[in-house]
Amino acid sequence: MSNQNAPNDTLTDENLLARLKNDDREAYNMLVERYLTKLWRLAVNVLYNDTEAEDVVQEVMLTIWQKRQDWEEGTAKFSTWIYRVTLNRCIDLKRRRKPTIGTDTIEETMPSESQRPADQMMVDQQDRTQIFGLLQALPANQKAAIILFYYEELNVREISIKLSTTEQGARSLLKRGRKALKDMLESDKNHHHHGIQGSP
Amino acid sequence: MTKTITITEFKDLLETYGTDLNRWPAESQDAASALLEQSDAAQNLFADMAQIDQALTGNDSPLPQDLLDRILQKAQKS
Repeated sequence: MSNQNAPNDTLTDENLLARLKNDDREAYNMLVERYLTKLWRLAVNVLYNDTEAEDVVQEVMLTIWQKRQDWEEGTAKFSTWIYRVTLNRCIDLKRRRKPTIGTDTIEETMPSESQRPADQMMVDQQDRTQIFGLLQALPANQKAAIILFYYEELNVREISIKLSTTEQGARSLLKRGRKALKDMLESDKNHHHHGIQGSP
Repeated sequence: MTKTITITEFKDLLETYGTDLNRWPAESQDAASALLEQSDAAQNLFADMAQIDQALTGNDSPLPQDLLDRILQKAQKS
C-alpha cells in the first residue's frame, strides 16, 4: 500500500520508504522535509560548525535516495538509523579535525521496517515545548542542576558549589534529572502515539 | 596506552554529562568517541540522549534556507 494521496503527516516513514523503492520523488521530498530540521539541529549541536553540518546533512539525505533499494529487514527503525548515520558522519568529521583516533568507519545498512512506525525518536517542536513543562515537574534540586548545566553551562564542580553539594552529588542530580526527563518524554509520546496508531 | 571504557561506563557518563563529549571528563573523551564508532548499543544510547539535549538546547543555528532545495536538486541529478 503506497498511500499516494494521504496527507504528508499521516504517512509513516515506512510508507514513504516503500514508495521510495519505486523511485517516488514526492515521497523522498516528504522524507527530507520531515527530517531536515531535526538532522540539522543534531549536526550543528555536535559539530558547532554550520558549513560542516550542512555537508553532513546533505550527504545523509542523498544517501537515503541513493540507497533506497537497499531498505531491508533488520533491527533498527528508520529514525534510529538516520540519526545514527548523521552522528557517525559528524563524529568522523570531528575525528578528522583531531586526528588521534583510528580511521575505521561504521558499516551502515538500511534498517528494516519498524514494528512501531509511528514511534518517532526525533525531537520535534512538540518535544521542545513539552520538555520545558516536564522540567517543571522535576524535584527542585534536579531541575536546578539541569538548568545550571544547560543554560549557564556550568561544569560539575561549579554546580556542586552552587547547590552546596559534593561533585558526586551534582553528578547524581544531573543523571537522575536527565533520566526522569527521558522517562517522562517517552511516557508522553507513548500516550500520544497510541491514539495515532489506532487510526486507519 | 589508550584508555577504553565499557558500555556501562559510557552509559553512566552519558547520563551524567549528556551528548556533548567536550563536556565529559577529558580522560574519557577519546575512549567515548572510539566506543561510539564501534558500538551500536553506544550509538543507540547516544541517539536517545540526544533527544533530551536537543529539546533542552533549542538555540541552534538556523537551517540554511536553500538547503532543502539543494538536496532535492542533487538527488534529482543522481
